[in-house]
Amino acid sequence: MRGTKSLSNNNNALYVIDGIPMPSLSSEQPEGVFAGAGQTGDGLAAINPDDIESISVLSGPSAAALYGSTAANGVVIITTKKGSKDRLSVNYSNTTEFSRAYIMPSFQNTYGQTEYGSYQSWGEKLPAASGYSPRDFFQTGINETNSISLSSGNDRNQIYVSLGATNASGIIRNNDVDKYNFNVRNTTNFLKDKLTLDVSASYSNIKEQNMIAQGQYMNPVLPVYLFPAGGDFEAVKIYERYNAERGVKTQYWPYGNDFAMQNPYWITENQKYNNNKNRIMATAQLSYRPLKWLTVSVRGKFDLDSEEHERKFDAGTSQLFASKYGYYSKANNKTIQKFGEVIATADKYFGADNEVSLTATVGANVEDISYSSDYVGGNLAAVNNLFTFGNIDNGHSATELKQEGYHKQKQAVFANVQIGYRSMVYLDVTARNDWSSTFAYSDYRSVFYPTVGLSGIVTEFIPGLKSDIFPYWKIRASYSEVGNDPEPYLTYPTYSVVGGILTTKTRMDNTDLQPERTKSWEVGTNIHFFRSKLQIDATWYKSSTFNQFFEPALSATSNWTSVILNGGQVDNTGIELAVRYGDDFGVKDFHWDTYMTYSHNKNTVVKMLDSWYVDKTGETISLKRMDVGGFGGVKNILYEGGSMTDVYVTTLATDEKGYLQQTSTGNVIADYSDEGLIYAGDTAPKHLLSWGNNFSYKGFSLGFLFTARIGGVAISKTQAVMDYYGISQATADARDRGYVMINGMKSPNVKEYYQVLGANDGVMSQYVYDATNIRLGELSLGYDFPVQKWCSWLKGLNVSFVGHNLLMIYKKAPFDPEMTASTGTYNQGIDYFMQPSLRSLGFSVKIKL
Amino acid sequence: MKINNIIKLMAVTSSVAFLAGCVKNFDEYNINGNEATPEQAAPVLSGSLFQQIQRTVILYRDGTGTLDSDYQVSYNLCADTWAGYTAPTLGDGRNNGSFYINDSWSRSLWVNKYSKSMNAYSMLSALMEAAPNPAIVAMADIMKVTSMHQVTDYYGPVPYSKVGTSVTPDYDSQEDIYRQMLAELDDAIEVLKGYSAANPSARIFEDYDLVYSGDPVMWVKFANTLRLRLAMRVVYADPQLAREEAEKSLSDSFGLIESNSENAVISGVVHPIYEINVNFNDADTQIGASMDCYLNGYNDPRKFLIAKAARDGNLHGVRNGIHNTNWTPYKNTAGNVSAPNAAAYSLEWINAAECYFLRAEAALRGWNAGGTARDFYEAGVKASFDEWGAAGADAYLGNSSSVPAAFVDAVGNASASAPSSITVAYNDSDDFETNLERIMTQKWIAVFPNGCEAWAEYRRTRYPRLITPANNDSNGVVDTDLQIRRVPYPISEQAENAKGLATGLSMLGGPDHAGTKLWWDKK
Repeated sequence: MRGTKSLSNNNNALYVIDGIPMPSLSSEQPEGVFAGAGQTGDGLAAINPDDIESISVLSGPSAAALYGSTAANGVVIITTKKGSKDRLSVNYSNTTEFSRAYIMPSFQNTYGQTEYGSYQSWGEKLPAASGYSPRDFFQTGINETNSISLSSGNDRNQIYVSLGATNASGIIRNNDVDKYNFNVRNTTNFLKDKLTLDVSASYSNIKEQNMIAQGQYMNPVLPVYLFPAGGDFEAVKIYERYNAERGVKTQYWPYGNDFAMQNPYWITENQKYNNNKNRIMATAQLSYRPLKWLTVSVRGKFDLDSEEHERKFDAGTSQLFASKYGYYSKANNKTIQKFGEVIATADKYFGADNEVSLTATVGANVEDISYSSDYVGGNLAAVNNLFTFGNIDNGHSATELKQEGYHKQKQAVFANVQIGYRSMVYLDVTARNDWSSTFAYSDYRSVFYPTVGLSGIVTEFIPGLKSDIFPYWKIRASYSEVGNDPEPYLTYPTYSVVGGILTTKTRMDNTDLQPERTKSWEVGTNIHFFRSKLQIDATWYKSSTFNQFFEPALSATSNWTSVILNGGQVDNTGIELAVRYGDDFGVKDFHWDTYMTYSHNKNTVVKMLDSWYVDKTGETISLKRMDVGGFGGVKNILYEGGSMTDVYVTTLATDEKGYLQQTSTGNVIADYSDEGLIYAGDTAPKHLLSWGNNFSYKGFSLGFLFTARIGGVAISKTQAVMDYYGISQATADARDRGYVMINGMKSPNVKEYYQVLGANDGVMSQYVYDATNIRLGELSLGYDFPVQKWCSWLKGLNVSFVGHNLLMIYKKAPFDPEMTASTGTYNQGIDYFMQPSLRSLGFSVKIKL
Repeated sequence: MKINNIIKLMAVTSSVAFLAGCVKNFDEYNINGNEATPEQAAPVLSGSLFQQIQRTVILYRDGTGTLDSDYQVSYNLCADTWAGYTAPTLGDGRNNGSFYINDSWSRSLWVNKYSKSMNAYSMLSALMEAAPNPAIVAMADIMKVTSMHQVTDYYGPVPYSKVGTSVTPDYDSQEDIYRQMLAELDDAIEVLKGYSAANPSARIFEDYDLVYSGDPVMWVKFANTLRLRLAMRVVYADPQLAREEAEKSLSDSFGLIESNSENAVISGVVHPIYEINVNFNDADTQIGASMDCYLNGYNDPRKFLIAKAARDGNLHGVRNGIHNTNWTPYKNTAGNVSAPNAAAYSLEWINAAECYFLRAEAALRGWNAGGTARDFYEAGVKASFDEWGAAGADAYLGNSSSVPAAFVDAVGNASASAPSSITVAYNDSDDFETNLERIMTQKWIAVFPNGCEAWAEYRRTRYPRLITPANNDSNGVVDTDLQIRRVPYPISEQAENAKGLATGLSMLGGPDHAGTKLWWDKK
């Protein structure tokens, strides 16, 4: 939200559920060419979506005053359902969605294999177009969610119980997710409603199989996309054959292993990535209202997330990944969050006619998070496909036994005061002090940060302004600061011990760390017109994050490759605009709601490292460039004045006059050198737009949402490799035409040309696309059956049809540029054999008893 | 529940929650329990650091994070290729093999050496300053020289004397580095000889030393041999220094490495070339064309111990610099060319054969080598046959007719004429250069697969004569016949140590590309 702020740390928003922050669970992000298999979904999946009452978003860092520094990137506030005071009600819903592969690159099927057995499609023109289509590999994905909830209660006690089940299979065989949620919540009022006890507990179990993001290894998309036209894909479907010598079925793959490629069916059937995640959350809140204007509450949460991640590769897997008996690894990851909070809130009016309002909150909390991961992995030693620790070859140097983890605790006191005058002007002041365990051993123990905001209702204090046409105008301005703590353990250097060997680290120790700071300003306005039928909400913001914890590279000659220090400054400036109009036009039972949102953000790396005093050597160093991500011909490089999402790419060698350099045979030459890198653009969007509409008429409802992203670049390494293999439509077109253009001249060496573009790191300047796209993102059509007319115990029945990602109206890139393989800060907008984006259609039935 | 009780409960809970300020456990929380604290590390630290330098003399997958792919990019795609030992069979062929330098490969040795070898050395030096132990310092210095001469032999002027004192160290000229390394060896040898005399049969770091189990006598023999290697390296740049330092080793009372049991080797390790050939894309590397010419031409009995036979039963190498887009015919499964017989390779720094050939060259140059060039040459060949377990050394040494064969490309059309007409049998009446070529050629075979040393000695002496690459993609920067003379500096130095890099460039004596000759490259 509102741009990436931190150069090296997490830039994701914080989820707050019923006032309590969700811990961010550790997960690996695919970085680099090879990685991407064996991912896991995010921690929010532990919440049953049907338990959510409402979601609201606090974009700015002002949220941090309430939820701490992890809220600096914005907060998603989720309120879950409680039992109602009404008598028993039961809700059942079923949503079933079917999805198909949608956006895929264009393949050729008219030129055959270079030669028999080759994986390249640079051969003769086929007598008839090949029947193989990569799209056929993908199946129809099904996502079915069943949820039942029960709510009951009276004035004293309310209870809510829900059960949810999601069973999904993806478009690639054996990519499955099965999720079960159970939740119970009870709210009790005592002492004439002065005391409220709210207790809830939830359990979820999620099993995931073969979650693949992208990448070269263990990714069936790669061999499927590159499969040569004219090759026998039917033979490949019989992916394993009995090997009498080894007494086991082994992989059938007659194509060699460029790219460590394997049979795609072998990958989906015999290389299993299984995650089994159990999560228990228990919360309790006791609120006491001794006086009308005073509430004191105490709440606590215990959250245990326990995850097993297994990888099982059968005998017959490529020897790069397994021994001839197979490969097995297992990680047990456990995250425990304990949270406790005390808050007192006063709500009082003063003055002769209560013209002054005061809302004051003081509170303190403790959040304790511990994470541990135990991992054992290695090639199997003796028995085929026996996936046990005992069968792992513990003499092999690739065998790993790892334990990782951290323990951190944060304590905070905070206070918030809001003073209002005649409901016209409000002053909001917040102060927070965080003590963090990760500052132990440093010169800092805690960090203090304030916010201040002022808002005024213009229509209230300019007499005569308020009218039916112009009922409401509010202006607001705020300033806020957030202080952030470092990662655990940085302040207390230790030695790693791996494989029974004590080794030094290549990252320099630096215990002299200060808090990272974000300062932000925000002004905004809310204007209503026409009896508030038209509402406009506009915000301008600017934030500066400085003294960042970031990890610049050091010259290895320093004895180190990097160091974590305070430095750098990143600014984000942007605007957010929302316009909403709702009207019934005087038609009975009719309503139309339309809304448009727009946002624009500009991210600037203002400073890298001006000067850093190195304690160990007494020197001062500076840094003007930092390579932070990217792979194979695409690099994220940070420079002062640039943005955090700038990418640079390899290009074709040119001479001093700007002409392409050519070889003796007239072919182009790739320039992979650093000096040759050219600026490709910024992968972040310039403008984001959405336009939604909801119509309702007599129980019918129709909704649709268009989304548009304007600007930014997307880069496809997939296309580069497909060109190299001669399987892209572009290569067939050029062959049909008989030439490619080089320096304005026709060159008949089509294959040589494309193989320069696609080989090695690729000439990635040829594969940079405008990421602009416009699509119909959602469409739904529903009907509320008037069941109560027919049946007294049935309170509601709704049937709707829903579609997602139904139509791409405008797009330039050969993949869906809104797909991302990484939720990290860098490596965005680069496609390397990601799964195709999905188009889905489905229905839902909701029954209320 | 009475209201009083509730208030009490809330008071208790709130005071528990109100821990702010009570943060004394924070110190405990912020220590990584999965790693060794300085206190825990202290008793084993110096030994572990010593071993870390050893484990990074030649990079291999040691279980601590160094990978076979580190060897691949640091050595196999650099020195091993340029020494003619192996040829890369990957990409489009426009790479280090065709003189098109890939920075992400060529920077790897730099990064690994400084952040692993020198990192450990600097920390060990700091420990030794606090608690001096001259014998340990001596062994550490020998290790450092073993590890770091590779770096200056790759790049030329590099940071050496200032490493550990600055995060942006100045570079030293190669001459200064060689003088310092030789001086360090002189000192270390004296210290260890003294230690050994005072403490007969004592061991130093017996549990940590992967090579000689802490035997100071062996360390002196090894250091003498290493000093001889480095002295000979500078013979064309500073003949006087070369002779002085060489003769110190040649006359040292502790002697040199003379038998294969004394070789400096880390045993029990699968050589990284095995993984690179067998498991990296079904062969990212195969035996080079130059090896093919010499081993086939001499019908060398070590032939099928070094290389595997292709499907036709013969040894077929691959020429560097072939522009190619389909490597399948060069892969192991195709069986058209010879894979390295890497299961038999050992992770060796110096062997007895190399030492004999150095002594042969010293004798040839007329130095006080304590024997004749012929005797040392023949002892070197025999030591190599013994090491590989090959028979027939005497017949081989008597062969005065076989010459290197022409290179016949088993797959494509990159054949080449024979690189040389040098024979095996030593002939005292041949001129100096002929016998030098003979010695260097046999040394080149004998030190296989130590590409680092072979490539440096090739550049020093121009021997053995190597097959040139099929294509030269250096844009005229590298002379095809002279081949690569050095590795360009890592690009990252421009951003990370511009000040130091400037000192290096000023001492390089030429532009920062692969055609510039190093200081000792004066022949």
